[in-house]
Amino acid sequence: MIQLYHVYKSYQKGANVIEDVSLNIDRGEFVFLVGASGAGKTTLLKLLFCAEPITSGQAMVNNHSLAKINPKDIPYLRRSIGVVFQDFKLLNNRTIFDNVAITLEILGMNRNDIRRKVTKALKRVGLAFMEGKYPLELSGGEQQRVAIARAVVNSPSILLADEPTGNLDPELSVDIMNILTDINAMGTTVLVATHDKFLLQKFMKRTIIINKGKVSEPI
Amino acid sequence: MILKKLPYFFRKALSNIRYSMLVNLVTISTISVAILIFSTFVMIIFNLTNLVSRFEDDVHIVAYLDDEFVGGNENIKKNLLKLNGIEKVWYQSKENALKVFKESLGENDLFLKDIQKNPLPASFELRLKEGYKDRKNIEAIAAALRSMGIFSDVSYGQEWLEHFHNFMNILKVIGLAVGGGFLFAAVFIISNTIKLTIFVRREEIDILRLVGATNSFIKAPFYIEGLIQGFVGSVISIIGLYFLYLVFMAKVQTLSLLGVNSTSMPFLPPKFLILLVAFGTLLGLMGSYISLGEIFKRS
Repeated sequence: MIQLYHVYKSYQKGANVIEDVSLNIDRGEFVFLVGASGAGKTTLLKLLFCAEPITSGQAMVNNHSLAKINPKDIPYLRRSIGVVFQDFKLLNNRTIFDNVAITLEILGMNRNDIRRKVTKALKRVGLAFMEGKYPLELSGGEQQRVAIARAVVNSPSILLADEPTGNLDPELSVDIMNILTDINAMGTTVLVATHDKFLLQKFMKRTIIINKGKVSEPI
Repeated sequence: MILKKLPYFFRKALSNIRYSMLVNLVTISTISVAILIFSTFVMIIFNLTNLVSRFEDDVHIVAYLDDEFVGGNENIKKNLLKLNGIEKVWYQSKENALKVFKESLGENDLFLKDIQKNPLPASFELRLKEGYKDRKNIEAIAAALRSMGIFSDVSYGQEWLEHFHNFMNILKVIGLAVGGGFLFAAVFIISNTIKLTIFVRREEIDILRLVGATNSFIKAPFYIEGLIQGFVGSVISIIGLYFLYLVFMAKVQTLSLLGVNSTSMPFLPPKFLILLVAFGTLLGLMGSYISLGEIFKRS
């Protein structure tokens, strides 16, 4: 599903943000990407959904080669990847419903199907009766759940979550993680970037450590 | 696929307009003013062209018979009718010419009493066939009349029509330059306001990109926004033009100038109006096309 082979990323010559990363994540896996702030977690996730191009190496995501991908194909790759951003990236002037519906509107789905799927996704993250509200009327945890609903509403094969519990208290964090494991149980490959050791201990999943752009896996 | 998404694009464009109402109002007013100025020129040129063609229809030649010529009028008339391009010929005798002249003077005819001899010549008025009313043919006919040697003078009101034609050409150039200038400015302003609305919504565009929207999906509502701005702007300008026309006609009629009325100076026909609206709509589309091209090239 995700295969990286000697991948490098640098914004300046000689300063690698991602250095010689090789890893393999299979279909249906749940993986934690762990590292301190600035270790390269967000950059690595960005490479996977083509928000940044890789500098060198080979990478395959959902049968797309990231080194050779045609810019025109990037939107189609992104449709198969749900992304939960650290800063949520919700549109504050749109309702919760509209924020989640964006992903389906892009696919040209009819309004009835959109209504059905968005309602289902919001129900799944426990926000069934919030659809008419605006993001700023919700708490941080609720906004995070809207971001998750938007990322999974079109049933992507991969879900990338960047610090999904970053600003939440432990109880809410567990809530969010439970939602993500549920989504994983339905068959979606999940990759969660986090620096929260508590979560790693609570949810015993495969963990990839990233430090100064290099990855390693505890045995 | 695009057709399937069209209702979404329209909804999106309308909600975009609602979100940035002020910017849209500025754009629509700019288009209205530009099209209004342009269409005012179009209407002036249209009516003047009509006027010229009506005058051209009236063009005729008058050939004044030499006083010393003695001969049968009927014969001359027959010979004149044989000339190329002559439809009808009327004869006016010296006496008749004087009578008409006296009538036209009304009470001011006192000075005519001192005149012993009728100074007015007899004349033939020639009406021309269609296709012979242009300057070249009229001059050819006039030359033919002069070469007959029996006319003291041949006159036709073509010269001032030529001046009028020149005036019209100058007006057309000015109209195109001023109107075109305003249209150019309109495209510039539209593209800038669209840039502004894109800037306001850059966050949304970023998010759309990240969740897998293609460039054309992102651009389409902006194109439709441009189309709507162009359409609304040009419809408003035509309403404005009609209002200006009514005010102008009311002024002209109270002054009863030149016998102008709505038949002699009509409003632009529907064909022109449709073209102007289509043109305005295209203008709006062009504005958004230019700005989107620039912005997407940069990103």
